[in-house]
Amino acid sequence: MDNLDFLHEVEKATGEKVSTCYQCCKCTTGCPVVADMDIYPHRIIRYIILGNRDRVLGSKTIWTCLQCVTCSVRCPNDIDVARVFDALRKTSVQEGRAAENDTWRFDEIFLESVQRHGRLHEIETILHYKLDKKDLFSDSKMGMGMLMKGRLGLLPHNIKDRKGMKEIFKKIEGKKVRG
Amino acid sequence: MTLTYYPGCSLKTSSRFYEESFKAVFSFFGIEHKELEDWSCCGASAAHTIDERLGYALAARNLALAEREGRQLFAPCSACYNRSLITNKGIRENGELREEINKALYPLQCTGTVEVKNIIDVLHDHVGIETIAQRIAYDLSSIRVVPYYGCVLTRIMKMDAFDDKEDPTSMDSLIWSSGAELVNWPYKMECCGASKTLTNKDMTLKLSAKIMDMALSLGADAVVTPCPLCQMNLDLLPYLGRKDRNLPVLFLTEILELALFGTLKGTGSHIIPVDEIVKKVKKQ
Ligand code: SF4
Ligand code: SF4
Repeated sequence: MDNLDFLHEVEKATGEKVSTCYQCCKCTTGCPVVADMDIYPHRIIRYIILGNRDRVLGSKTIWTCLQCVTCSVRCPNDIDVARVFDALRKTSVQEGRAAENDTWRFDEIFLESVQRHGRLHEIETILHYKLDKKDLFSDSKMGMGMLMKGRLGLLPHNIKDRKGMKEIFKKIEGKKVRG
Repeated sequence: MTLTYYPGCSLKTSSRFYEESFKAVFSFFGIEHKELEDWSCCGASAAHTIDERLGYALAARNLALAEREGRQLFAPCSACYNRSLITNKGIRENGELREEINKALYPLQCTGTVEVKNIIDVLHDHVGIETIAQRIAYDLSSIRVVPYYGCVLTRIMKMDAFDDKEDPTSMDSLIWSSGAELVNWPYKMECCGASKTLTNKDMTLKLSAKIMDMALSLGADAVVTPCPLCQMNLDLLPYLGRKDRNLPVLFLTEILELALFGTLKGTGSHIIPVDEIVKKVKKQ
């Protein structure tokens, strides 16, 4: 009656022994953003073991996680919970069930800038993200403040070997996940 | 010996004054460094989130360039340090991964053999706390500071980290040697909101404000951190919508700058003003 497929899938993708979790709640207790999650971290781990794929992949929790790794370093069974969440995010995007896509979209835009210049072009990335969200002005005070303090890179920093950089992306791109 | 310096994007843009600061301190102690030729972004938290192999490849590109220099690679940004360390180990120990990444890097080659160092490592290894204590010229004893490490510097899974993952003390000893009053506190490792600054401003506000409140309640004069992202998130608090009082957020090398020179090169770059704290510095 048990369906262990999902557990095996996650364990294979992460190399983490999720099945050793004994529900001590240590991961949940130390998590700084637990109040914003819809399912507690230790419950996510439990649902994986129980094969509750839909709840896990559709959860807000995996997108709330900041990857601060507090849970992972404290887990008495050495489960890298943060890494498990990271892998779950990829699967949820692949299957089109991501509960939130701002984080993913921002990371994509960040990488587009790196692909183009070799280094992050801050202002381009921020504006691109804000245009994408159709919310250009909400943080303009913050942006101006940073600009005045010389803390926003206005010009792109192009590396010399931009061709090589594009090659790296191209060679890896084939199997890339898209949001 | 000369260190190979990997700035990462933030030390050339949002945290340029961190670069100025460590350079002043390094040159005072005679630590030489040479910027890594044609370095690129390490992928930060974005690359491995989207595709693990891309994360490895981006960090490995810099490691490969550094290997040609054959020196220690110094990465002052906590995120760059974290990604470089993880990638270095992965490439060194996992033959399959090494082959795959090197295919993407070709004609560059990464073997994972360079030594990756963070700012605390470098100050401990190349200067040492005794030397710092002997060379300070200004009295910081009236300045109370809390050491704020942030999450990504020491919390690196499946690795022998350079310090304890939960209760690190290496930066404490460096601050102590500067003569500033060190306040013990429970938030050394608390998360500042990481890279959510744009995508979830309220979360960064909530987490960073909690850290600031704790520092204020302990009567600290400043928060000291080695991490550019932590510095930025806390320093942005006035723009994130916080109305309460804020303490200046200094880089680790800035507290040393104060102890050595009595001034800060990056005064104008701080969003939360640092003048009050600079005023507290007295000639010895
Ligand atoms: S800390 Fe580890 S063992 Fe405890 S509940 Fe969380 S995942 Fe399970
Ligand atoms: S890594 Fe994620 S789940 Fe773990 S403690 Fe940090 S925010 Fe919570």
